[in-house]
Amino acid sequence: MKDFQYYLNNIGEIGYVARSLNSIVYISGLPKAHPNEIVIFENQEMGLVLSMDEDYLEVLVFSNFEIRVGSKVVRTDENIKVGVGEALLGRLVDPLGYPLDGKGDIENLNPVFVDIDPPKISERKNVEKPLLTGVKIVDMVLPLGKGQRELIIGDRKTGKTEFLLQTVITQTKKGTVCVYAVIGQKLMDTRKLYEFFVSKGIVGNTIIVASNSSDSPGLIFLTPYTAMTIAEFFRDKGLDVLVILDDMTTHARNYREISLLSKKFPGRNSYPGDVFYIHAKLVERAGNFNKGSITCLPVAESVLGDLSGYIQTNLMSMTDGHIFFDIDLVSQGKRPAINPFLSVTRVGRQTQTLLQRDVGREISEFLVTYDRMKQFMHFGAEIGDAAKNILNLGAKLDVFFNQAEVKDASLDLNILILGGLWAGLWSEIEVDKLKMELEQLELLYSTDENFKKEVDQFIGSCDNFSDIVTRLRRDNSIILSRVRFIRK
Amino acid sequence: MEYEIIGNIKTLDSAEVLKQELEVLLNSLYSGKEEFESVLRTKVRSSFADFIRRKISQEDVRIDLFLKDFIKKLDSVPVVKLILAFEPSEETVNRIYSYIVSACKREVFLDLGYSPDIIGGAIIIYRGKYKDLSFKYVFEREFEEEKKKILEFMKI
Repeated sequence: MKDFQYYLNNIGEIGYVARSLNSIVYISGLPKAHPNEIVIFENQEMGLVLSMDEDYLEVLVFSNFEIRVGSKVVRTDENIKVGVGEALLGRLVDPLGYPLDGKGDIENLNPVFVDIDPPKISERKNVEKPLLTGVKIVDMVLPLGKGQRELIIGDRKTGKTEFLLQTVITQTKKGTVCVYAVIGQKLMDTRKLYEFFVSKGIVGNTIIVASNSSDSPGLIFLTPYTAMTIAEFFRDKGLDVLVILDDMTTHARNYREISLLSKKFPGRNSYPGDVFYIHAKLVERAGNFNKGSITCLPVAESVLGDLSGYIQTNLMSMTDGHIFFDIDLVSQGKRPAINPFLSVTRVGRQTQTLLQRDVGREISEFLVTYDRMKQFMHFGAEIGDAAKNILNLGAKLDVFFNQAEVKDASLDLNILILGGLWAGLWSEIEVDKLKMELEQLELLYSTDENFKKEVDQFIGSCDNFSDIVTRLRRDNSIILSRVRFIRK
Repeated sequence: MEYEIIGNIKTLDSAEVLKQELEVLLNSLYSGKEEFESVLRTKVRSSFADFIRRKISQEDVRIDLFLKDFIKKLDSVPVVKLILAFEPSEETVNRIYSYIVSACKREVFLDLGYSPDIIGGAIIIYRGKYKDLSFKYVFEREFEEEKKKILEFMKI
């Protein structure tokens, strides 16, 4: 962007700040300004025209500097733009595209409009390719597809961020570009996130767009839009992009602050009437396209596990499902604390192979039975062998799904292990030992090429889950030969 | 003319003074008739006080509404801001004012600014429109366009 003097001389219009209300200022003058136009104050700060009446323009300011009444303002005749380009990879930027990582200016960027309409139907395709998250329960029971919009919802400290980080690690290793929008969070958290990406060696495939809680509401408001604009640049290059919007409830609260300051009529929970529109317009920009895809994972924070909040339900209705992180499961020690019964995936299953779908169906059915059986046990009832077997297998399944730390997990190996569990290979084994054996198999799979090939071939040769179970019952050497030394 | 006095006000500064007097008078209305008279005698210029007294003497005028309307009327007069390279004399102000009023064909207030660094000419701001007709701008643009030639000439 050019400076104040440039626009003053070239556009030939000037305005004066008549009133200043924190992040909203009212400007007289600038007769030809239009909504969403960028204006520049004489101290070179930027603002965005929100609305206008006969006398004043209502402008949202992008900085925390106090704008004095009487300050001069010029219009730019341009809507808001942000610089995009490959040079952004590995960088931490603010919502206006300026670097925050102290690594100097980012060059060779092309400015593009931030606020655009979502692509038309003719530019879209069905969600066809799976998106692996590396989180077993999601990949097996609640699969996601590339181009899917999946809401990540849960109370504070339920492991949402760990899940997102696991997904970023898994996807960056597969060549997906990940754009992480940190919306109005603590500066320290942003720093930690960036350092985490550096430590995992994936920073080159990620971009963090961050605003912190002390930034102006205008800047925080802009954060997810900038992230989506950057994602669109990479999508247009034919790449698969993953966008994480962390989190949209903060964004909504921020928009509520702006709206109340500008005296928009408050609706439910004091949110303005267009809060649905501003989120839907953003989320609709994601999807699977003729060229590339944008998978969007908006995050919403719930309070005391309540899924029926206004913003939460809005987001649910504009996404293709949601993954619910349950605070009760956290207190039971489950990691990740995903509640499969209250989570939904609408388009993920269509990306799976028949075998994967069969495995997912089998596990879902079993999880329901296991849950019922556990509830039944609360009555202190005496149980038969069949029920004992279900509880035993359920406990083992819990161990299998438990992923406290971020690490790689292959889908084929997971299916093989599940087949082994169903075939009873671990029925007589203690939970602790099972954990060790599973870790051993995961380690082998990632280090031993022969074992990996053997597992992939085995899974590739099976048509359905019962086929895997039957074959493992007949010959379990593919698993037991690898873990026998632990048993001894 | 109800507000004929506005025609005698040429600059924004004078308009501001008048507005202040109107507001003081308006506030004094709520402290009784004696207070209003006292303010009229002590805090308002005599020519303007006479004008107000003439208005009060008319039976059909409600003084509070009259004062409020007057303030509104003052606020609605557009301002022409002129930045000049010199401090104008009263005569110059009068000439500029007459010219602008005849060009705009309506009442305006002049807001005169003094900035010697524009060298000559003027910067005009009217209803959000900005026109830099200063010598400074002309020289700068000329220098920008003919930079090479000028630098070569200066080398010689």
